[in-house]
Amino acid sequence: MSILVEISENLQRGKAKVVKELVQQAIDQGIPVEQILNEGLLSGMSIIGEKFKNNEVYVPEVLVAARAMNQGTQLLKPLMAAAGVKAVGKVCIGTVQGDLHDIGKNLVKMMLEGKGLEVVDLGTDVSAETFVNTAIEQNCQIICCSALLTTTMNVMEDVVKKATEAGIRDKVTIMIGGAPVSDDYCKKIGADIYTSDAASAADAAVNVCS
Amino acid sequence: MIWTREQYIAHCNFEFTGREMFCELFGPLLQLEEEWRQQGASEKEIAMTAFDWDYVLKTGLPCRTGAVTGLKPIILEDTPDHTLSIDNMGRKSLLHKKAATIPLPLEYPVKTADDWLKIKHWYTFDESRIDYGAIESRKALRDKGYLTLFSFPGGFDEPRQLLGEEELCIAYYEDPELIQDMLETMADTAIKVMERVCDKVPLDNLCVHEDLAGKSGPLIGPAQVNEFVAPYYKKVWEAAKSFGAKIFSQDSDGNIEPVIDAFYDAGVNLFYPFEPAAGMDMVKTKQKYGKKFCIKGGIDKHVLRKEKEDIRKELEYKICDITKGGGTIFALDHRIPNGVSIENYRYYVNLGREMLGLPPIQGEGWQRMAF
Ligand code: B12
Repeated sequence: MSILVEISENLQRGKAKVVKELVQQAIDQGIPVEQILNEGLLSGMSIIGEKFKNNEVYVPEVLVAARAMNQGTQLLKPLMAAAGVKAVGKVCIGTVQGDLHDIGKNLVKMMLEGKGLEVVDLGTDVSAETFVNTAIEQNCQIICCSALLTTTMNVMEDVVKKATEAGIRDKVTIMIGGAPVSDDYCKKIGADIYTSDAASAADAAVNVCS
Repeated sequence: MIWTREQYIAHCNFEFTGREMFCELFGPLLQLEEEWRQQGASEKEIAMTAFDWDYVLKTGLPCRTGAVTGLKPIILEDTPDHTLSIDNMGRKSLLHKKAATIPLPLEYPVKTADDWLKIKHWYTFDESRIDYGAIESRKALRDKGYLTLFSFPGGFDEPRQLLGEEELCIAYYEDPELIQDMLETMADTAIKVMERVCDKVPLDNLCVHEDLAGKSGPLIGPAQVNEFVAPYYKKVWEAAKSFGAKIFSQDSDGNIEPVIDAFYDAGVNLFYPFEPAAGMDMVKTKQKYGKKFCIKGGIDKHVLRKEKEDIRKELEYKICDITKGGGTIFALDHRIPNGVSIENYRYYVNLGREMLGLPPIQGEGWQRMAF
């Protein structure tokens, strides 16, 4: 079995230590960094994402896989810059103002990273201004807003308005999700993309960036 | 209408009692009260009593099965917007006063197995968990027809309070013995408490709170339920049955569909609140499972934010031959959200009563039915 397949399979089983060792071996064998990332780590995370979407695995499996991926990417990061490997795209993500639910947001973040996107995590209780300012300052192609409450979901509409006022609406894609959010709501407030789960969110984000 | 214990248990067990049960489980979400007041709702409507809701007389048994920490909460910061405090588990917690009544823990007491050993005594048995002085009065209530409730810590929820969701999910893989030890300790204590109390007052309804799912599914899958939670539930449920319990109810928001079988096999026979916005459809579930378990809730709270026509459609779909005749307690699937006008709510109540064959509102009354 190729070492990259081994990385992918161990990542799917959440074997963080093994993944770290294998990534080091792959580096030592001179396999290009981009190939280790794409065919080893990201390929494994993609399979986990797909299984999560289909309810074949659940949050514990996603978390241990993400943890294993982090062990691998930590080794690759310093080499990636030197090799000129760029992230697929850049995204800022947060849970909207007044809302402290962060489990779903964290999963979306993991899945985005699992697709090779760079993610700026703004945490919870994030104002519309902060989303928009971050997108401007950090050159994000996508703003991802999570809201779990009917009392806070209207902040997403403010994000759309603020992005328009700031003149970046045509440059930035606004993705939304969370318990009370639906496709209809997404259309109603003029946001761009709604998905009901984290793996589909990551697929949609990759589409936007590629 | 006020239901008696016998009627309620019979209804939950699919015996048709001659009447459908229509309840409000939790009442309004924080901001709604203000909105309704502005729309001219009466105080009795805001207090829910104006709607003559169905409920069963109930009493909790006088004991504690969860964490007894001995720690007193300390307020660190209190502003009009938020309260930052150290809670009774020693966790720094943040309450967003305008949006929530439940504070969010910002840190957790168990990071290692050693941390657990240091706090394990919070969960071990001690006679002080039982309020022996209150047993007689609860027995008197039961004799009057009250339903007795006995709660024990959630098999997912309680370890989550100690580790946080993410660390707990990882611990299932990296430190399963830790989680097993937690649940064995909790089961042991719950059973010892039960033996002492239920020896004197019979037990009707075993209750567990989990809240373990979101829109895209449960936070744990059947594998974790079967390995960790089911053995824990089974021990406590077996003991509860020996003291007369007929109902084992579980509270979990979100989409629990993938774990229903595992929980049913572990003894749960009443699921609530069955959240449609997360994809739970009680009609389809009843079609699939028949009379295996009772469902409480199941009517989409968000529909009340829409048009009257949408409310009618939801009620027409949910109230049907499959759901009627016992085994369903019709109710909204959680707190009534902000944005629901009092007019729509009145419409919902009256139409619901009509479709369920209940008489028009006759009296007053409401009690929370979330148990
Ligand atoms: C766990 C939980 C809590 C925990 C939060 C812990 C934490 N660290 O996050 C605690 C106990 C603190 C809590 C508090 C409250 N909660 Co709460 N909570 C939940 C619960 C049960 C699960 C949420 C969850 O973690 N799901 C698991 C994750 C994986 O799923 P998810 O968040 O939906 O995310 C997935 C998708 O939605 C999507 N997604 C998420 N974000 C994004 C973003 C983008 C861009 C995209 C594309 C996709 C996407 O991908 C994710 C993964 O696949 C939900 C029930 C539910 N149906 O969601 C209630 C729920 C959200 N809570 C609710 C309420 C009412 C509250 C409180 C107000 C309760 C109170 N009385 O105080 C407070 C509010 C606190 C605050 N200010 O934020 C209600 C909201 C109802 C409403 N009208 O809006 C819900 C829906 C329960 C219900 N049945 O009604 N809660």
